[in-house]
Amino acid sequence: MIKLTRIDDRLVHGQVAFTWVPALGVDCLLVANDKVAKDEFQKMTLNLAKPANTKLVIKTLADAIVFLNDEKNGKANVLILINSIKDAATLAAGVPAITSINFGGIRGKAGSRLISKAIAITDDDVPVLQEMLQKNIELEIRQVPTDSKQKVESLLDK
Amino acid sequence: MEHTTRKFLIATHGRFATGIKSSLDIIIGATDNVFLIEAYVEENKGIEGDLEKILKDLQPHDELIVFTDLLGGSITNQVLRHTQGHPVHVVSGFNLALLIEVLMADAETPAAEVIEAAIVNAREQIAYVTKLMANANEEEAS
Repeated sequence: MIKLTRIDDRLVHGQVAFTWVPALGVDCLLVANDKVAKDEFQKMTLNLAKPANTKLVIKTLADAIVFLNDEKNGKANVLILINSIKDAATLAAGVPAITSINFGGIRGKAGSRLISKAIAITDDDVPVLQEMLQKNIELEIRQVPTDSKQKVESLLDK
Repeated sequence: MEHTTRKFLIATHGRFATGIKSSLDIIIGATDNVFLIEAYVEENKGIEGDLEKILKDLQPHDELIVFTDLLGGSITNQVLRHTQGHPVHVVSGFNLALLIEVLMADAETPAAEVIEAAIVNAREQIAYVTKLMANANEEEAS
């Protein structure tokens, strides 16, 4: 089952490996990212840093959708990592089991604004977020499991 | 069954304790019951006064896990000397991974068990990464 679908531009890192994995009993980390899936060096570094007793699967978005919809992977407790709002929307559109998206970290860039301490969005992101909300997908901000959920929709007008 | 609170103390030469606490706050979020002792920063005096305060506030069923920087260092020695007879676990040579694991552990699991497991995992964290990468590359090629 899908334990968490998280947008985090650092993908697998300390917060994920040391807090989310143990807190949710995750045994499979799925990195869904077209660029990383084709980058041998980055795959190698991610493999070095993977938490003990977890399987790390790195796939393109299209392959990740196939993987998540495949019933025989249903037994794994999966934490999905994507690094952008756009990719989250693509994944959610292709995988009906994704009903909630956790926003962990999106660093600011030119033309983006902070809606919370660790989440920066651009104007182009807004319609994508609205569309997910219309589909009743929960969009919540938590950096670590002990944070209380902040709803993205309550911060969009800022 | 009395309520047990697990408390933590990070005691180091200089500002290491505060520094690693700020790393902890970023990675696992704010934590309760973490005390810090920075020895020899202001003046060259022992840490027994600071220790005394923490020990005095321990309730009968509380337990204290103390992390010190160096095995055989003056901080560890003082902690051992001044915590005799108190319900204290002393762990030296900590790293960030060790602190994360112990602080996040389930309070129901006995401290001794938590510490033993965390030390095994924390040792794994000290790695010559350059060499690991080179080995991984060789495997790719063969």
